[in-house]
Amino acid sequence: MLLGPILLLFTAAACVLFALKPVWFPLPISAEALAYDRQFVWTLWIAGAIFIAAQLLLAWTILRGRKRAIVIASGGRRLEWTSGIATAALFISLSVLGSRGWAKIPVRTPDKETIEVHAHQFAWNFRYPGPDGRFGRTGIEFISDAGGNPVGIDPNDAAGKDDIVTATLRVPAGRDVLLLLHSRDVIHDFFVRELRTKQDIVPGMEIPLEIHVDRPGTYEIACAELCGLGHSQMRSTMLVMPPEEYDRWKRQR
Amino acid sequence: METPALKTKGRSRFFAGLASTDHRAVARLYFFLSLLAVVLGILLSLLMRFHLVFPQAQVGWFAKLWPIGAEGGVMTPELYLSILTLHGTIMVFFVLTLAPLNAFGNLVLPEQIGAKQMAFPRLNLLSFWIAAASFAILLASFMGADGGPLSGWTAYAPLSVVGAIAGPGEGLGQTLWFFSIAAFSVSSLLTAINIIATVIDLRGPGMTLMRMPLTCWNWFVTAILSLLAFPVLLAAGALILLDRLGGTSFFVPAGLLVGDQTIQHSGGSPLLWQHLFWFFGHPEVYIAILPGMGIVSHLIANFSRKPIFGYKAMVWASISIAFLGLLVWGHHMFISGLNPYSAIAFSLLTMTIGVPSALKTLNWIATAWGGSLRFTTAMLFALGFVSVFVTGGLSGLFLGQPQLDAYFHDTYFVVAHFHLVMGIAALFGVFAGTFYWFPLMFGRMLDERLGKLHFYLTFIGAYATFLPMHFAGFAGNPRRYSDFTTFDFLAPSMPLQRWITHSAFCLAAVQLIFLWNLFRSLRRGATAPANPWEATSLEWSESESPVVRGPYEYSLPGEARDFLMQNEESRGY
Amino acid sequence: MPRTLTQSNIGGPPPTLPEFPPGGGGGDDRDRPDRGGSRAASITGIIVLMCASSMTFAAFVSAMVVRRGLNNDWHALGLPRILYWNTAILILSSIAIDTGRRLLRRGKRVAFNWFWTVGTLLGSGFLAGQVIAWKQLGERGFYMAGNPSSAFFYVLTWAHAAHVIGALGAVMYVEYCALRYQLGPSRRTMVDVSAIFWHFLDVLWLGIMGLFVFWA
Repeated sequence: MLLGPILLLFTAAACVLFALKPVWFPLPISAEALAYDRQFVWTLWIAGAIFIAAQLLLAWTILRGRKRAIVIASGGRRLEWTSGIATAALFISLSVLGSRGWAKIPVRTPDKETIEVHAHQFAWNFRYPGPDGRFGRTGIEFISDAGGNPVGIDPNDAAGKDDIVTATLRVPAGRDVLLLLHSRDVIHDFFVRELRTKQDIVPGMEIPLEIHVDRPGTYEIACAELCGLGHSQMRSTMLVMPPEEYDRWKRQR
Repeated sequence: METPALKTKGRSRFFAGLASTDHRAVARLYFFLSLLAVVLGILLSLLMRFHLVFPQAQVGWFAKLWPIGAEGGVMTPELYLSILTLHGTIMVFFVLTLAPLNAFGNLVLPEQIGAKQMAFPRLNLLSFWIAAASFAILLASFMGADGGPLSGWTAYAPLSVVGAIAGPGEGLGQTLWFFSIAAFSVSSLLTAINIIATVIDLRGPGMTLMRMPLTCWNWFVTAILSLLAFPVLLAAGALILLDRLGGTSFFVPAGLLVGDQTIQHSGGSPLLWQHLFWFFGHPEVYIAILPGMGIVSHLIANFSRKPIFGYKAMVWASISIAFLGLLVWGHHMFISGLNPYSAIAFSLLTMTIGVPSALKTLNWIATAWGGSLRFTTAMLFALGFVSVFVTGGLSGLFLGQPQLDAYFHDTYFVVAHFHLVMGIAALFGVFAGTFYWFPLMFGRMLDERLGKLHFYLTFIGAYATFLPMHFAGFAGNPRRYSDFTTFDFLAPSMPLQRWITHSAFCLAAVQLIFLWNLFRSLRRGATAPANPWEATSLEWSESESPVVRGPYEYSLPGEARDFLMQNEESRGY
Repeated sequence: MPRTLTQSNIGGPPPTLPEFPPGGGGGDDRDRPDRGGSRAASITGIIVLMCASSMTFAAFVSAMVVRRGLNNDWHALGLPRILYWNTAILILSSIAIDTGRRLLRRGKRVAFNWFWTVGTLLGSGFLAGQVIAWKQLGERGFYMAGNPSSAFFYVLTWAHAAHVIGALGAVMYVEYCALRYQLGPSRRTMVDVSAIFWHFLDVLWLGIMGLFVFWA
């Protein structure tokens, strides 16, 4: 019997918690992140409404429950069908809306800033093609973290001589950036909260991730797929620079 | 109440119980194995929660238990991750598969359908001992000098394949872990065969399929799901063991450099492991929840003194959930590198599962609505299940959308989601079943006052622990992190994480009330009457008459009592 | 005989009392009352087991399909000639076992014994032939490691052989009871169940062979 009031209190507490927001999303920094936030808020209102309705209905049912003579209502077929169809419509439209930003396979085009992301146990490296615009050939036999070649650029390949390898990711604001994700050992995951997206990095595959950041700043990069004992230490930063500053930096390297 | 297998006394009774093929004896074995597993699983979770908020703490007995993993008394990341792996494996397999299906199914199913025994009693006992052996192998995998595997219960390749070079415990520990899972799969398959054959062929006179209680329907559907899912895990386990021990490359691509070691495998696909694992893994979570749903249906009808609202729809919903559950495994892989169009297909199917789930919720509420509610502990857990299942299920609305999942994948939002539906709701189903069928298992009643105290404190504690966890997900807090000190963005979440830890310890402490109640009532509980809950189903009947009516004939107009047992002729007036 | 295939007639109609063999025969037939439910349950059980086995093989085959499409390192396996002989032996053993089963249903004990014995021997011959095939593959340099198509070949044939060993155990147990004329009505279910599973393994083998002959 006590469960009725407890459910009411709990529902109220949940609403208060969502109003107070002890911690929340960081600020979005791209158009996709804004679209994400819109979809999230939609879903939150719908889920919240269902949550409150269901818990209140359950509480009410419990509060009404007492020893009584039962009258069995017949039918209820219509109630089931109506709620079934309503639920289906609601959930499927949520799914359709949520899929709108999804089905795009990024394509490599010359106008995009292309940067390689290299993950390994337990650090990040990033490679830029340099003024010649071409990435040099790589091979695991050339990899030497201590020797300053974490990506394994072939020293005999001319195209690789001008490649820039860094430990932090610098990207220009306001331009399309294509990240090519690589891992040399196990599955990692490239996650920047402010972009509202992440992508698993599967060894043996080169996985493209297209981003377009509008807001300059420094954002943390975290690994979001269990990769071993250093999983929680795999930190790097994404430095989003105004385009001119970015070009200047590239020229200076 | 007679419990046939326990007629003898003392030590011989104990050993008789270990070797008896009677379905109730086997059920008791599974029950106690799950109980041991859940206690261990909870202790492991407390170790994890402690380490998360006190990562540098020096604890003397850590060093004694784990001289290598906790040198100097400080838990290393690899020890944390191996505890995490063991926690997940124990809870998913040995608690949430064994208790709802094997323990309660074996105990109740034959009686509820009017059979004398399970279809293959000796196979049943064998099934238990294979599960017990699997548990022993699992524990052994964590006892090696190197520690236990640290790849999580999902054991993604290549981390789980390339061996000790990828991390401590990835050598012998990981190999034994795979053997344990393979053995468990065999045990589950044997149980599934037993349940299916029992339901199809051993129903008593008059017990048609549509007169079966919903508990039996759900055990039946769960067994079919088990039958289709576990063989895939077995096959995947065989392939990955070959990758580890036989030099094959099913899951490991070419050109890997792990640490400073070049890996000799070539040509395999890590995604192939994920497909095979999740083809099993998603049905597994429905295997964990469906029996609980059956129990909830059964109990709400019993304790509302009303027939279940929409019996046929409930059967249809269980079948739909199981069927759809086989088609949605890709929603665990939205950001894995899957073709985005397949992600949309998986998403639509995932959202569709919400429909029969919502229908069940509506029908539970409609059953209790206007009922003459009896708030026994079992009923409280059943009602609590409805509340927690709604909350936990709703976070699925976010995770089922690939766009939203792109943020929430591998964050604490997912952890909150599955702990609410599996860790709490499914466990509430087990608690409800325990309080309801304790008389059947041991001839005694559990104490109701202690039971209610346990329920209320657990209900509050569960929400207090796991509802705030969603916010850690909103903040992007990744999961499977052994500590939160490296990243600036994790600092604001620390108060929240501390709250969760304190709440988790309180929640765990509350479970001692249940254990006290359980072991005290085993010896000194009130003797149970024949039908303590005034239920209609056959497990409470002492007569051998054939079945003449459906399973939920409560409060029939014109009857002297407010219930008629399934094999009882109408008394009328 | 009912026309539709249902639970109760998959293995044939419920068994009738046996004829005694020539020369009298002793009171060795330990007849227990036929628990009708348990016969149906055994048949359901073996059907369900076949579903589980099929799922395992389906998992292996789908992994094979995916793996083949992944890289260019797939080399078609030249199947040792003996495998075709093995296939024939397995089919013949199935025919022998089923003929025996039908004869038993008509009460022809002695004939049943002959056919079942032939089936058992042929089944054992199949296993022996598989071992030879594996040895021959090994001699040609096709091991588990290295080449994915040979890896899958070993996986599928070892899994199949594991099932054959189990089924052969049941077949041999029936043989043992048959030779001692201890196949009373309560044991007939065992005959039907082991025969059904044996035929299933036959069909499964044809599928595996077909996969490697025509596709891999």
